[in-house]
Amino acid sequence: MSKLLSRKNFMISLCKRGIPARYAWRVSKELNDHAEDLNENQSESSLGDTNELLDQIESTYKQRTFAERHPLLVFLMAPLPVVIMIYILSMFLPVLMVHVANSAYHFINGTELPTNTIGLPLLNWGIHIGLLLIPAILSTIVIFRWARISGLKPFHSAISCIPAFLLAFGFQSMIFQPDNLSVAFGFSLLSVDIVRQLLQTLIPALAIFYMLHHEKVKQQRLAEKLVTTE
Amino acid sequence: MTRKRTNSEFINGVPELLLLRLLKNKPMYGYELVQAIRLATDSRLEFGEGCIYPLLHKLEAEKILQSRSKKANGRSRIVYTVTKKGQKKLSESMNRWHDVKEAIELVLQGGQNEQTAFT
Repeated sequence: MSKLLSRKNFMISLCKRGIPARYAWRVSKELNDHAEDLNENQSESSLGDTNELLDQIESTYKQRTFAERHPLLVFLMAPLPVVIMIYILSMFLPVLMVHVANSAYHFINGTELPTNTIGLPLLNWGIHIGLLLIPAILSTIVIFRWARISGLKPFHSAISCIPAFLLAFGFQSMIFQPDNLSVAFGFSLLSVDIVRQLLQTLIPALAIFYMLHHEKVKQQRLAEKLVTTE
Repeated sequence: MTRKRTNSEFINGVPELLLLRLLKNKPMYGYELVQAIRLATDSRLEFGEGCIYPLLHKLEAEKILQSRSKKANGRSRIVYTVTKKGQKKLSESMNRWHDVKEAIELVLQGGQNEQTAFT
């Protein structure tokens, strides 16, 4: 390995290019062994240019990944149905929860769930906030993680989350009557409350920032652990 | 519509063919392989480390090779061996190599069907 670049720095450079820490460790170990063999055998040849090595390792690794072989599928086609499916499931979930709560109340008390209890406004707000947050965060996590695992760079992975941003922007949810169980939800890109919509769009953006930060910390910890425990 | 079979994948797979053939003889680690290619080809073919290691890992991911850690010269090395799938792949690649080689030689030697092809 080049004297200018230590093994640890080589690993970190690979990780920054989106190569998983475990694979970066493996390559850097073998290249390090190779460099030591060249030294021991007093070979005239040496390892090539570090940037060229990094480029070759990165491109060969990414050619192996599903995203490199099927970029259109990963970038354009798959995210939209995934996001729509998550939103539909998220909308059905509160309906199902209320149905179960009603049935349970009816089974225990023999009457319908009263509509004027203190719990109902809370349930309304819970469903309202939950519908704003959960599908936006969940769809961003699913698409972003899939894109990253498939070998896409962070920027491209964030781009593949555009459907999640759009649905977060256009998602509408409101409480009609706080004393009754009445939350309305739907989708519209044209709304009078643009500020609220922009704030909603921040939800997937924050989820991406959190995942990138978490990924960076995790990769660095793993890289350090792999080097020190060798 | 039938899809034309091309040999571009095969021609790009020359390093792969050499690696498989050499590893069929004996398990080796990366440095040994680079040296073995140099020796076996009388220094006419040389592949850099940036080509060999990613290729070894790709073949391992495809289960054509398998690796294990082994002590060699007092150090722990990652040694590669050819799997059954790899042996099958090697035999197919060798057959295709002979086909391509014969086809190229036909052209280089004037070609039996050259006149027909260009008239």
